[in-house]
Amino acid sequence: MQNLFNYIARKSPIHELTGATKLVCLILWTFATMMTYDTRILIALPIIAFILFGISKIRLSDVKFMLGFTLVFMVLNNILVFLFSPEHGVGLYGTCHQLLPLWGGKYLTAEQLWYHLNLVLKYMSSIPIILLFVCTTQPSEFAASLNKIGVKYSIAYSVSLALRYIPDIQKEYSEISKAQQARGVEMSKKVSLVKRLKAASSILIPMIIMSMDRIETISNAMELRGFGKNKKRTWYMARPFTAKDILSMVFCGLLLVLSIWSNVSRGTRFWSPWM
Amino acid sequence: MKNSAVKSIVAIGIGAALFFVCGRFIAIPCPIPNVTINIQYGVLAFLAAAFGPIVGLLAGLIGHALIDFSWGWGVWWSWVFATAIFGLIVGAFKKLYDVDKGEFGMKQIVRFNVTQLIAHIIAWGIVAPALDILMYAEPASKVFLQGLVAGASNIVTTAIVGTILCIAYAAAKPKKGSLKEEQ
Amino acid sequence: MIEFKNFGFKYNAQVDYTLRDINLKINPGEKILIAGPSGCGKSTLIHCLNGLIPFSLEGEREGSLTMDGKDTWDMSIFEMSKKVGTVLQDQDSQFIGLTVAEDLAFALENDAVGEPELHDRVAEIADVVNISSHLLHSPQELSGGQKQRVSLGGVMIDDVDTLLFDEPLANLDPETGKKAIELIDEIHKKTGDTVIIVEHRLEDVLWRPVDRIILMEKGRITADTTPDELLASGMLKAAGIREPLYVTALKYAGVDITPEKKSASLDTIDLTDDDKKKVRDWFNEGKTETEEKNKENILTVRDLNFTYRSDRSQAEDFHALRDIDFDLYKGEMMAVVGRNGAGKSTFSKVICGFETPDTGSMILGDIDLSTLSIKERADHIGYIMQNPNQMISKTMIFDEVAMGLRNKGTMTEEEIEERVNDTLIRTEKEGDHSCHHVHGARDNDTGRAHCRPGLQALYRDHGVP
Repeated sequence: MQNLFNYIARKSPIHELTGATKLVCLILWTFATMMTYDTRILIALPIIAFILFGISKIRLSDVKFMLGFTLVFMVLNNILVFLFSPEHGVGLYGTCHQLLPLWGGKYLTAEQLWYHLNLVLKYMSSIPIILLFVCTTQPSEFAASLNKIGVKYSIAYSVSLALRYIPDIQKEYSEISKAQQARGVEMSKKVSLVKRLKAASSILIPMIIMSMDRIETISNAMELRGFGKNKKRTWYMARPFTAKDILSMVFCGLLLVLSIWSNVSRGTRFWSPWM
Repeated sequence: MKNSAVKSIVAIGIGAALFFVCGRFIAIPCPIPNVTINIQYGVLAFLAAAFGPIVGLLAGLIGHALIDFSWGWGVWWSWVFATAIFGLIVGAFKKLYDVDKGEFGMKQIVRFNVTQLIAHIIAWGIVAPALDILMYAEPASKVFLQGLVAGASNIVTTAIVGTILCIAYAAAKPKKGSLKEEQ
Repeated sequence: MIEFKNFGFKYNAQVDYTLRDINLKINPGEKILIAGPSGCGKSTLIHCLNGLIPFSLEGEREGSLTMDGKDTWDMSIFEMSKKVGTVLQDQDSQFIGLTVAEDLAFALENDAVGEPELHDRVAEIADVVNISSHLLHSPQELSGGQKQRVSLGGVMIDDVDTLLFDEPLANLDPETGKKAIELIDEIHKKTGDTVIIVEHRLEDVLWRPVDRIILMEKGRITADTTPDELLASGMLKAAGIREPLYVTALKYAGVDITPEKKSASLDTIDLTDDDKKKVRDWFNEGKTETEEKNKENILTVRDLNFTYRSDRSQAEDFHALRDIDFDLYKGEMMAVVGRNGAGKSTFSKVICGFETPDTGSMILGDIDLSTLSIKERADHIGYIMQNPNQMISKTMIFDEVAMGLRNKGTMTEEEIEERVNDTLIRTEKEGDHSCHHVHGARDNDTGRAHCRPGLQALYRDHGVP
């Protein structure tokens, strides 16, 4: 069930980077894409991302499932933005080039289309990097990485516990849900929404009670094996940084600097050909 | 309780896992297309009421971030933070409706639901849309409506699922000095 | 040395003392078995030994408990955990790492042990418990026996001098259980550690010798003696613990079991010629006739196949049921036996409609089961799950039992009440109790919740805990 998060074991330079490096890079990269609407940067980032994807030996077919969801999400979000605020781009860019009349005296504008292009580019800059992170980082290494970048080890271990018990709880849910169906609990569209929620609760009650017992037993087991004894703890899965790790983090750091510099130097987050 | 620190850590982990499983795998059909019923907020509200603000905050944060990660669309941080804030607020007023004491009557039900109502309004009416505008420069009318729909649906689910869970757990919990040997 | 003196303990949530008048000495290097029926206080005794009492479970005590001369009430849980390593009964809660290697390393990680020692020690201990080839496996990919070996390795890595096993056989089939007992024995001999096994499956534990058996009943120690003495005493049966089957057989044959006959193991047992003759005679007269009854076929299964499909391309499909044919007759009591992973639970899930078979037919009376939903099948077949906690969703026993009838929606509340009370009387329970307060009895309660008239077959998964 490690596969819930789609880790794919292959040999590649990206896989060889430590989890902590990839996490730092992911954060820097995400901020770099989030900060700016400078289209020039937003074109450069997806290109770099796709090159990295190639280096990682992750194939498109490996991630088509996740990619599909993301594309649907992206299209829906764009449609919603357009429906609610068809002239949003005009406000952002401060110019107005009307193309076609729309409803209620509003116009389809070049600025609006430009804004949507930027939204799509933002998705295309961030999605490949997130998929890359998910596919090349072993879940086991994730908690150690969090601790390494400064998250308290106790909280990092909570993340590890969540990953550890998700498959167990999922299996438990499916078993309880079938047992309750056998006793006449109905969750389908045949009954009212409130009834459906009550039905869901009758599955959740045994799950919650068992989980509360489980929290008790696991914390006992952890205490019995010395968890929380020291201020620091080591991690079996942690690996030391190499030159490649440092280089990658510096590179992503520079991208963030570039993105911030572009905003600060021009006094705006946005960029368009008309400005 | 001497081991409350370790217990909180485990509660965060298991809580995040429960949040994840409920949010990712439990599909409840809903009359409005494309709006999912998020029963995980009922679970989160219960956990916050049982373990307090830190567990509420972090179980929500980790659980929601993991859901986003598993779909692959990237972590939608504005909404993840909103979930965390919801957990934090419900947990912060734990004393008003302490399920751990084994009592969850009418008084506690009302207090719990008023708190969750306010917490959802803050999370989806203020935190999520504000962060959406700030981070993603999305139009205000769109993000506020999204927040409104999500908030309203979450309030209903929390009111039903959260309340039922609190009642059931409080009733199942043995009270001090109440158990006799029984064979 | 561990020593209890006039020791007693009461949990805060309880009215009565769970442990009373405990006087027990455990010497270094001893291997002892603590046995007793459910609710006798075994678990509480374990908590006292590993330090969870008083550190996380609060209550009052009387008398004293010392470990190497030091009162455990003055020690921290970390200090205790360096002396006593506990292998819990619940393997899934004990296995907290994402992989075998991480779980083995857990205690060392907490001690902030660095490289290369961390990896070396894990490799070393993995070898001792024979799990080296699975270091990067997740707990979901391991069998119960393997998980237990990991748990054992995880506590041994801390160099404890006492190993405490809480019902080590609970989730294992007999064959795997034997292997577990062999491994414990091997480690005991190799390390010279004190070994304390708490278990009621006596015969399986005695597969390898133990020094002493402590018998507990209602919170007190009722026997503290060698296995040979205890088996000869007849106290086990009185306490409700099953003695080894061969001992029961010998008693049926009229053999008088005395301590001198060393009945603790089939390897050591020493019978007189007279005894041997008694056994032979008993065997010869014991041939029973099997009578053919007039049978009405109630469930017919033909050519049943089922495969667990993996959700992703990497993992392999698992063909769990192959070409199953069988008939069940009315009023018959049938047991499905097999080792862990043999497909017993899968079979029951397919019958109840939780899983859909690849091929094959299941005919109940004259109904084809494949046409019925889970809910509709439940009108004919009652299913009790292995873990009763998964089924209880109501607070009060009455409501739990009534739930299925209420969901059907065809009866009035009075009729339901009458039927529920009838069921509860037959099974000797009071409906105004809370489900979760009835310790050790939950299992039976779920059974009752399903004892509804009109059921044609009652299916029980792992009925004997």
